[in-house]
Amino acid sequence: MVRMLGGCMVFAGCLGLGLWYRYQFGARIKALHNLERMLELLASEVRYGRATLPECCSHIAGGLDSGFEEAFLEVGRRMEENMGLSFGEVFQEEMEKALGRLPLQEADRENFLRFAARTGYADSQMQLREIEQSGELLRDTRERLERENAEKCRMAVGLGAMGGLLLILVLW
Amino acid sequence: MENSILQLFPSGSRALWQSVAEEQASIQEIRLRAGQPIIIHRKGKELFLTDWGRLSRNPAEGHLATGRELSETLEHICHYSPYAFEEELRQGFITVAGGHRVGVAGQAVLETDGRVRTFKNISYLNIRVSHQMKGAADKILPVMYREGGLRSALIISPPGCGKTTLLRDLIRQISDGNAWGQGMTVGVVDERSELAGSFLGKPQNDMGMRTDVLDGCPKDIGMLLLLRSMSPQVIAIDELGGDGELKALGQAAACGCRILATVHGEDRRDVERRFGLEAAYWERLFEVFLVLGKEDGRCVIRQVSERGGAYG
Repeated sequence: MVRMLGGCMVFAGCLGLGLWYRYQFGARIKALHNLERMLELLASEVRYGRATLPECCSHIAGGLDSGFEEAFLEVGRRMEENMGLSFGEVFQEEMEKALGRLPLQEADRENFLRFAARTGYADSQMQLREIEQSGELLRDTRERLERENAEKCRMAVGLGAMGGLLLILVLW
Repeated sequence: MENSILQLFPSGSRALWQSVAEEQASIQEIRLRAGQPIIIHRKGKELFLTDWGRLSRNPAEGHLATGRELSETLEHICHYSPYAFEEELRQGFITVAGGHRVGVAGQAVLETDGRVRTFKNISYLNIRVSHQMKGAADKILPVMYREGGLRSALIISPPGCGKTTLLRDLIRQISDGNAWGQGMTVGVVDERSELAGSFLGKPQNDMGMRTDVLDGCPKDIGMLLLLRSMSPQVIAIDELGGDGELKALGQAAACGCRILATVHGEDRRDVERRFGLEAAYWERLFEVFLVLGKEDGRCVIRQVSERGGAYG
């Protein structure tokens, strides 16, 4: 009876691990989607509002998830404080705090922060292009993940279940 | 506004500018040219900023500004978003926090029709440090009012005689109220951001508590906009120019607004000649005419005349 219960628990644990991995794949896609949305909002502010980048950050903060709302507001506040740091430095510092909480890879973070290091364009089209390029890189990653995701999710759950069964057999 | 010029520079070069910022009150102009020593105009004298952040009279000791320093400074001034200042750059200057004006020059990029689109390879910056002179209009306030009511006034002055400074203080005192009259709602059309020194829409100079500033808008359009939207009791503009502006002033006057305006000129006759309009036209718009000039290098009010009075 105890052996039976132990076997069930091992199976449930392995299956749970597989489901957690499946959730993680989905969460990264969702996070990438959110980052794309933020860059789109920034681009809209530049395109239609002709606002400065720090102003854009303050303007879009309101509609974002709580972690990013604070980060974007902080970028606007610190730039207004004007301690002499560049927008790229402040943006990177503040965003890394918020990005650290998301299931992203280093390349995703770099792609998101990429545009902030490329400022100083006198033409808004050039600045827009930089923001859009960051967004395109994130979108490419997301679309690739979405294509691979269904297969990966099935594999993660299947491997979890199969691994659980294998472990029960070995331990029995 | 104290030490506000330090804020124009990125953190990497602030140590160099610390002593200049401490003397901001006496500094008129800072000139940066790529490959040339940085020149500071202080109390009418030319000084050079050394590598150690001191001011020297010897050009050989001057810190040579690099192109990189200039571009970093300009980027910092523009909040790392020069595109947001496209229109200002096209005109060749940006008004920054603190009301200072940064003139830029470099290689002009032209539109197909020959208009300046923007500047690239900016190699020259001229920072004109703003100094608001509160009380500059104290002496003329008594003639501006009659029985507690404000009178429309035209300030005539050659360049560099303080007409903008005088108008700015007049606006502030009329808006806040003074010993001669109660506070009034003033609408200011600040086409070149010189009066209010607006940066990102916020006036950097004290324009008074009842003042609405329309920044960066052509004066003729702006006056009509303000009339419709803000119901000003007084409309103020700097450097009266074309016929459209005179027409808009006429409309404002017809709506019962008092008018404060400045115009380039030596005296009333000079203004009448340049605009090709006789004295009666001006007297329909204005009740007081102030002529500024310089005596012994100092800006003074040379003449005050009233509607119907002699001014020859």
